[in-house]
Amino acid sequence: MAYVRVRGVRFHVVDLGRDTGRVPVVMLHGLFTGSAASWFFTVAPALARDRRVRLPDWRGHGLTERTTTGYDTATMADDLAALTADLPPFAIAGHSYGATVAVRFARAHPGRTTALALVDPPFADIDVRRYAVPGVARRGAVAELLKRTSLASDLAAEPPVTAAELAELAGLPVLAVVGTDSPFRSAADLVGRALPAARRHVLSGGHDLHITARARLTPLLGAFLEEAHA
Amino acid sequence: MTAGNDVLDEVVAMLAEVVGEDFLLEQEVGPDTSFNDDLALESIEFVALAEKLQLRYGARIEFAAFIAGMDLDQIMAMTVGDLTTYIESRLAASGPGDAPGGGPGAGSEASVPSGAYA
Repeated sequence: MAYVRVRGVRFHVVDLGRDTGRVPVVMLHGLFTGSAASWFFTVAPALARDRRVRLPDWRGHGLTERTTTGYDTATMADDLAALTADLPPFAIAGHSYGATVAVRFARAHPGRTTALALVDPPFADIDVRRYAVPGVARRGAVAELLKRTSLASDLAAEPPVTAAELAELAGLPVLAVVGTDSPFRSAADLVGRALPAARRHVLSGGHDLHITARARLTPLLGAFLEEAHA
Repeated sequence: MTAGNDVLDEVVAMLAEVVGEDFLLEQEVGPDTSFNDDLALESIEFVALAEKLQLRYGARIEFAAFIAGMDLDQIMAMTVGDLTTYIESRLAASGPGDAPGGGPGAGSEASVPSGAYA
């Protein structure tokens, strides 16, 4: 599929790979400069060699319609449910806010998620907006998002992911990968406290590990998917 | 090299659909044109182009497999010629019966009419 209209919004979704009997993986990008391209040009092609991979563009991002509202994780988790309704239970790899939505989706739709890979999830106790909102946002798509949508206020109102919330995911294979120089590095500790069985890795790099640590992250995610579904 | 020119023409036509005719009219697109430096193609536009290629050529090409073997610097430096060379090699490998331009609708797994990019 390329474009699909669900929940009154025209979404762009990229499908890679093919059904091989392995569990599909849905890869979720982060906000602002993120899009399906974030994964398409980094980790997704390697994973798509032997499984089906789906890359949605969130509302307001990539080639999906820019809606004025709906950038809270509850709405986006419902978007994700609609965009994956045709899939069997699937693994999720989420970067940044995509990881937050992944956690909220896994809780809201038990049984739909088989494994959760959280790539530099913004679970640390810092002002997410200060970091997440790019400094150069006076023009272009990012500026439009900030000026014409509720994204900034939705982010501000979003309750942070807590250890108690993560603990509810016990039993689900979870991988947390953070960057040495990321402001969210301590998110791995939070995941570890909440889910002692979770796999945790610290890779050299900042927030955009899928780009800067692509060569390390790709086999890590591939091995996690194999282990989680063995 | 007729087949090669066909592929180049098709890629240029798809590019025009992705970034707009007006933009492409401003410059000559040839094998040496780079997607990033020359065309300033945004990454999501490159994804849109890849989807159009997949739709046009079907299973004969695997764009994801093509870029899976590259590092990010190589992807950033990719030229139109790199892409058409890949497509041509895959079309040649898939056999003459599947070659494009072999007649109306010849070998087209794609759901797009063969004249769609004319």
